Amino acid sequence: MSEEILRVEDLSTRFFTREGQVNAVEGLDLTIERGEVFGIVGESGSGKSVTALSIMDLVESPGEITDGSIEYRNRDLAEDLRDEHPEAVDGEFVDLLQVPDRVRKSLRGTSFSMIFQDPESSFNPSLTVGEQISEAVEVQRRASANPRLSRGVEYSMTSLVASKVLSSRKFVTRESHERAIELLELVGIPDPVQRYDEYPHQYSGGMLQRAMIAQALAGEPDVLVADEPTTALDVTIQAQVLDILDDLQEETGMTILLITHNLGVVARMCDRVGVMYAGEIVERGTLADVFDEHVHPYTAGLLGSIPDVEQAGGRLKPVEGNVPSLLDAEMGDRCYFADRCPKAMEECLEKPPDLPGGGSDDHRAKCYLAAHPYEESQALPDGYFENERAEEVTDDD
Amino acid sequence: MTDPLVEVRDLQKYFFEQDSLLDRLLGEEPVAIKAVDGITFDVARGETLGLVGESGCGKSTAGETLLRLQEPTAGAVRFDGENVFELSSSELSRFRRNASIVFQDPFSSLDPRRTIGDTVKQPLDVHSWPDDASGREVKQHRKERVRELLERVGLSGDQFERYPHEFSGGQRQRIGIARALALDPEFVVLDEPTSALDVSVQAQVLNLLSDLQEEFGLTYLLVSHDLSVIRHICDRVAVMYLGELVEIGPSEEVFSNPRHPYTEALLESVPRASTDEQDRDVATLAGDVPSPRNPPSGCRFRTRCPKVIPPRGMDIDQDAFRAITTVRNRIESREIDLEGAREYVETHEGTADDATVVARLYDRLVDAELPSAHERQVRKALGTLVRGDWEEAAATLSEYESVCEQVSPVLQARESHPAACHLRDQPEEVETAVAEADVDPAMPPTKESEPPAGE
Repeated sequence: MSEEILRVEDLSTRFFTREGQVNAVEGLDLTIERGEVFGIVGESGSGKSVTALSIMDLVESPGEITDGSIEYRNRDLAEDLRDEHPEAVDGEFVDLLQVPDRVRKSLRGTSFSMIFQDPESSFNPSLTVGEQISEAVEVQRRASANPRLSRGVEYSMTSLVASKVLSSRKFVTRESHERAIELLELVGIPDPVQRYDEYPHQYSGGMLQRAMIAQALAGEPDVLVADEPTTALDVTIQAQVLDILDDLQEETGMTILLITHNLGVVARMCDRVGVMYAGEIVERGTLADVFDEHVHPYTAGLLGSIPDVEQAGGRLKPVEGNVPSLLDAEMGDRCYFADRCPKAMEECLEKPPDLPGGGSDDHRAKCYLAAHPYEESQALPDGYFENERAEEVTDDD
Repeated sequence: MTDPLVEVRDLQKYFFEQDSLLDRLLGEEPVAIKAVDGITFDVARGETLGLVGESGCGKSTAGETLLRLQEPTAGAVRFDGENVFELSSSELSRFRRNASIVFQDPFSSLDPRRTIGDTVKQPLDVHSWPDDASGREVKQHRKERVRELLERVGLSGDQFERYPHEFSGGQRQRIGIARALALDPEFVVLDEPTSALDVSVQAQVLNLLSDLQEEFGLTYLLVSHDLSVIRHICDRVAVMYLGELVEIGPSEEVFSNPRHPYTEALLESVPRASTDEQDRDVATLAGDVPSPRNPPSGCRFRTRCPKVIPPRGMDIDQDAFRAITTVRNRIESREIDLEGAREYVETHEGTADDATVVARLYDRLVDAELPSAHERQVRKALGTLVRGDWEEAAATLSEYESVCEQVSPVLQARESHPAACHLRDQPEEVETAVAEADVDPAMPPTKESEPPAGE
């Protein structure tokens, strides 16, 4: 548990929309170690899903990764690419943003795989669940038999006809059929043989989410990216799915990047955590660092917002206000959290803090409070931001 | 519990499938989906009662039916002593003033083409508020009232002319709350008021709701799937499973000392946001919620329950008993793929004689270590099954029938914290039925000790 598998540095993903440039992810740094469960937690619009999509190379227009590097440790891949693309290779690491699309695509499934929030809309309703898992198996099987041929499946009339006529174009072979049943069994679906032939609507939400996990495991990925895997599920089903992820992780030793807004799920699953706010990681560290020794006032606010199921508490202490707009034009050159922060100081307005070292080596918070304690004398006057906002409104008129 | 504001008695709400004219002409029987199947509870004046359960358990339907937004199939709801389902139209309109609702989704529950001022004002217009004012003053009064409401829920009165799309989810939910409070009601049903919101915004809205309750002396029925939210703001909690109430009692007691195995499992499943969470042992519930079209006989939770009571005198541990029960259920519902198993054995082992098929079925179906006597019995049943005799196979295992399948447990009316479970005290007629089912309720191995009353 010390080898880094993924090193994301200074990653920026922007969306160029009609309303302006949206900085969904801005200068994000994180490292993920082999075999760990790393959690990214944040509220909606904080950029956590875009981070996942950037790693998977699934950002679609008008979005674009504009800056930074995503380095992935894979010795074989580095060897393969050293001659052709020396700029992308750094020791055992390969910068995924500098390799050709063909290579990037071939990593999907075998190196990185993803499960999504809503299992009902992630499956094709007109194919059986089994067929869809077999297809994933078959694609990986062919890709590994012939790594140069990374042609994906194309859904066209020609390929439909071809798959019916030519046995070599069929995506369900005997091997993939059997492997799919094994995978269904692995994720705890009762009667996998029978269930193989059922359609997505015949599955319950929890089972469909398991089937999606099975599909994601088809290529035996190094890193599984799970984007809100249990958000659409009931608590008792959520507990089942988390259990399965936990067991699979233990068995296969794969690395999981878990994205969620639920701090309970983070506490249950993760070794290390990054807290995201307005496109940045504002605090990261081990679970204990972030939950018990947090430095950033946003982390404190997030933890103070959740009612405790074990005891009826008094009043909740939430962060006041709303998540800021990520439109470039509206983001000032200061700490993005300052206007909601109960401990905002004058220096927070001068320039945004960077991510300096905190308590222990890996515990970092993007906040001046990490460097020195809160100083009353530096505090902003009451109602500072209300006045500022009022001024802006009059300026507009 | 001396002064109930809302009394719900045996409320039922069924939805019918295959109920169109064509279906009738074709002679199809309508299929009832029992969304709410006979629930009884009171909501005391000034309290917050939480209605909690998983999706599909009927909690939202219960909330809507008791406000008569849906017509009930059977049962009664008395609000302030009057049966809501028998009100004349003028009485109904008075009832609507006194009882309102906040909906779950703040994005679809506001009309996008109305300004939020209009949205909040609409109930005032519909109910010609205020009663005594007339003419030009009315307009002014209503406008004043809307401003006051908007400010009370934490928005600015100037935002009167804005449209819903200009607001965030949390702000929209505040608008929904302002609308619900417009006519100064006594009772508000909160249907998942925060489940579409982020945690920090959820906390703001929860704080607002408790402030409003204190200020206006409101009575809340909070419908939610989120146990932490329920725990945080409810005085009492009712737990629903598949259309029925399984447990009801003061929050503190239900959460610290749950008496129904379902409540226990539900509480255990909630991940805690604390660093020792990973060391906590969570016994997850098996399986999914059964379909409300055809709910299980007896106790509806028995198909997932970790504490099903084995028949009298049978010495068997829970895992083994569960495994046998699963096999039995599958035989009874004829859900075993015999041909598939035969084919599998044929391709993999080259033979397809009955013995190998039985072995294969046994391995697939039984996931626990069974004591040898029980193992023999199960293999015998499977042997009968392989010969194609489903009924005989089911009969072979009939000795494993549990009291939980035969007799429905009920909520005891007289206790303050009753639970519908055979492990708890049950009324006489249920106990009699249990005795008739040839099970000795005094001897189930997992009978739990009752805490002394008043604890």
